[in-house]
Amino acid sequence: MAELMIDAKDVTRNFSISRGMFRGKQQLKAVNGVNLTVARGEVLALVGESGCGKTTLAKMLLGLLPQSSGTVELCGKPINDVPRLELARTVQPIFQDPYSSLNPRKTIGSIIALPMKVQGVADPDSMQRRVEETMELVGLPPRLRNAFPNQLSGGQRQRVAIARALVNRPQIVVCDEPTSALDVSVQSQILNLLNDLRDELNLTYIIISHNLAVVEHIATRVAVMYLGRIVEVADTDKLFNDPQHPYTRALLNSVLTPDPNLGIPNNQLGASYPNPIDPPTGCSFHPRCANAMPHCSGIAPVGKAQKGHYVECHLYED
Amino acid sequence: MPDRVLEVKNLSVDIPLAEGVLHAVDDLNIYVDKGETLCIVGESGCGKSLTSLAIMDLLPKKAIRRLRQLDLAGTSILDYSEKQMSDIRGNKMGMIFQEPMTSLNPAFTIGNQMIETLHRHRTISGDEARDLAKRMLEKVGITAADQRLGQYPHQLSGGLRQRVMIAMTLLCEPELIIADEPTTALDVTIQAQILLLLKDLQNEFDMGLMLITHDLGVVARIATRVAVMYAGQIVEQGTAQQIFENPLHPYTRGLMRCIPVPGKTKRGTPLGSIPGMVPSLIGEFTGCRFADRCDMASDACRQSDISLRDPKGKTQAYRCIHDAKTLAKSEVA
Amino acid sequence: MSLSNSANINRSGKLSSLIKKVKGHQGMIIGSVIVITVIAIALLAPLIAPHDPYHQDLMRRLVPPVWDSRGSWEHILGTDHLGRDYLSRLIYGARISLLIGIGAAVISGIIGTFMGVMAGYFGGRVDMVVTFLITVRLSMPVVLVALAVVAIVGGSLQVVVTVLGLLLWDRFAVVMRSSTLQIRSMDYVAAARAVGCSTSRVLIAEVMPNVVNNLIVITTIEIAHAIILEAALSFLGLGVQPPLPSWGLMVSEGKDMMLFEPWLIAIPGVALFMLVLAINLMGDGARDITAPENRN
Repeated sequence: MAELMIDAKDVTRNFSISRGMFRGKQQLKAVNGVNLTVARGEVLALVGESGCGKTTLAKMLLGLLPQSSGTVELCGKPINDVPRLELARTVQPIFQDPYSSLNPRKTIGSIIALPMKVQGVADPDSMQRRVEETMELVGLPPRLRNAFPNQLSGGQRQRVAIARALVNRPQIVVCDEPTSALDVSVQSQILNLLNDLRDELNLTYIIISHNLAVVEHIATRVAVMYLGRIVEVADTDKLFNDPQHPYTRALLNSVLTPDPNLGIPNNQLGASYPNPIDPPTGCSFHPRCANAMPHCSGIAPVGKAQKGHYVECHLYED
Repeated sequence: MPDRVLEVKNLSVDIPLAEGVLHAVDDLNIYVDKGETLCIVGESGCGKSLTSLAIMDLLPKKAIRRLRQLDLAGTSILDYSEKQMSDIRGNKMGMIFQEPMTSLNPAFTIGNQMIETLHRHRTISGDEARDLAKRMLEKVGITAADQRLGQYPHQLSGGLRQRVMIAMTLLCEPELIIADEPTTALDVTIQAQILLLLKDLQNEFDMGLMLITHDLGVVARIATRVAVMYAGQIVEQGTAQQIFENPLHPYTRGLMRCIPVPGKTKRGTPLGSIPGMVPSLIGEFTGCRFADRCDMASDACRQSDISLRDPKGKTQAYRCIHDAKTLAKSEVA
Repeated sequence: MSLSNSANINRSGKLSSLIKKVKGHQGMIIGSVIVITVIAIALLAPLIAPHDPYHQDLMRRLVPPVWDSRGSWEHILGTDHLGRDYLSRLIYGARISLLIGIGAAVISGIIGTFMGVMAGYFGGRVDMVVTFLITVRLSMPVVLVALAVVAIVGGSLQVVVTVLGLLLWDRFAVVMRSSTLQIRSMDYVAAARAVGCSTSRVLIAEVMPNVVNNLIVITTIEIAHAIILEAALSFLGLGVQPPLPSWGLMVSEGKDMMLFEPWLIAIPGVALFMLVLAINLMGDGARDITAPENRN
């Protein structure tokens, strides 16, 4: 049994939204009771669309946002108890936008060296060596050390972000849409790089993405989120070959593979989009579900796992 | 000759910069017929957005547009004044952009904006306009249309806003719709719905559709014909079948190798990639613009400009000195 | 357009591109030249003033400037009602204007920036408190409050600088707050936190360098603002006290003789106008140059 890197139990995160001067505040349940485990060496993909809570969940797994309730354990310790510097040595992020993830006023070298400085490394020579090593590791020529972010292309900036994340050799890397903002030809380079680094440095990845083709290529396990809950989890092959939750099916159905002989799929989801502040009763997916049954609007489904395939849907309850 | 909705000949766009003149679009020829969808596909910086802006005469002030011919449904709009162009835009030529939040005025209701568009281009009574707007909203799949007319853009989700944009575009029954990355900012499931809607409406109204995108999946599913752009030029064009089943230009072939395809690309194996970067287009450039990144490049490629050629007079054209057979045999796509 | 020339990373630092941008902006050049000249005059006052600005010569009262038929080169800008050389008073007056302008701007800058950055970064209650304080401050009529304080405490250079410093921080706070809000949502701030930076490190190393642009622009505006306010206060007799050669005070002292000896108010008036205009031109230039659109 592989070592459990992250163990999240019943995690919830609420935001207070003010509804104007006279209507008081309302609770937005961005993440609503999520259970998730991540084992060492895995590449877990968190998949979902706007408003599903995947970014909020990722921030909680990074320790950047406290939970409203529930526990997150990092290598056995509750994440809230892990000291800031130790947390930084264990989990690191890579963000989506290579144009806003680098401080425009700092040089590349100083951006990549920051994690070391924060950890207290004082020797400038060893820092420089590590920086150059890491730059080569991610495919950046070390002479770019003195360049500024605005002088680099999108792909190069993303490599800088990767270098910064890896300079202290963390164990877990949380990637939030790491290639969505990049061109197709650059995306493949970054994906290949991420795969290589995972083998080389024995990393565990949590990848947030809405691009299912990328997910299928790089992830070992996939968790599908909808309106703050995880509605299905399975190994990648199983999920793509045998999706169980109607939302997962609609999602996979909507993936546009470059096949000119196929037309545009009809995922039958309807035009109405749920409002996270005012979620539907019972199963939150029922208004858009092609297989909705009468009791779906009244009772929320209970999740069931079978041979590592978890799904939360009344269709599978006995 | 099928009804040609758009004919563009020899379009060039230059942008003067401090460092020199940027030749963003170079001698482009495209056309769109009634009822068909032309997709212009390329990566950032290839000039595809500037092409659409040039056709709509919405280029930034600094940019210089040169054209030999620009016909919309048979009428030349090449020398149209700003007033004449603004009469066409939103009327015979519909436009859909990527960010519906910036194309819709947040200060006015949906109904207000739709009715104003109608009044701008037609003489029509207020009640008739409202009725038409309501019917159009229903046509694009928006339920409770009456209610929606009174709502503001920020009260709608991204997908709904894009539907409203489409409805507004259709109000005046355009001959041509130009859509620039219309679904890039939308979720996957909504994207499929919007594209399906566009396709259905195009068939119903028999319009021409020019869709600009970087997403090859979208292109494959919706395009009748495809033009692949690289560094300001069209490097390959043909029907969707031709481009996806038998891509010829090394750049097109390279792009196809880069994308992961569930079921085809094996997990764990590295994806194909295109080494190098787009060259600078500032100042004069001779020869093939893809040469530095092409593993079939030779000195001959850099010596003189290469024009689009058309193997055996079929409609698939590509810009390369090598012949179709050699290209087809190069590294398996 | 992302057609970047990354093959040749030009190390030509930001200074040379900055100088290039400045050269292209006429307003900034004119403004800077004037301001630098005034600063030079103020610094070199003891060397260039032809007379002692406080020396009274009752035999030579109200001598007109050199361009009038009765003027002389002895007193290029004439003398005032106490026979003091106007040019020398003008030169020393520059010191006062600049001292008060910069002094008040520094004090209010520190207060306002601190409040604005805290509000923008921490949000929540801190933001509520700061916003409330800004609203309170904005409801106060600055000139009247300054007058009241000075009337109670007595007018002097130090008092004026302090009072203005404690009253002019609102624009700093508002602008710094919105700049900080914008920066706070950037991914590199989240990355710095994820990397383990303490809050103070994030504020100093990641946030501040990126809000400094706006700070510079607001500072120039507030310097000009403080100079005008001091002139107004001194004109009303509740600012700097005689015999100090504040330009506002000079206008006040000359107003009774306005009809026959117009130069007494025209000269310091023009000087004030030029200095404030120049500072604002510099501020405009600074804003245009540091605008995000101009960032390559």
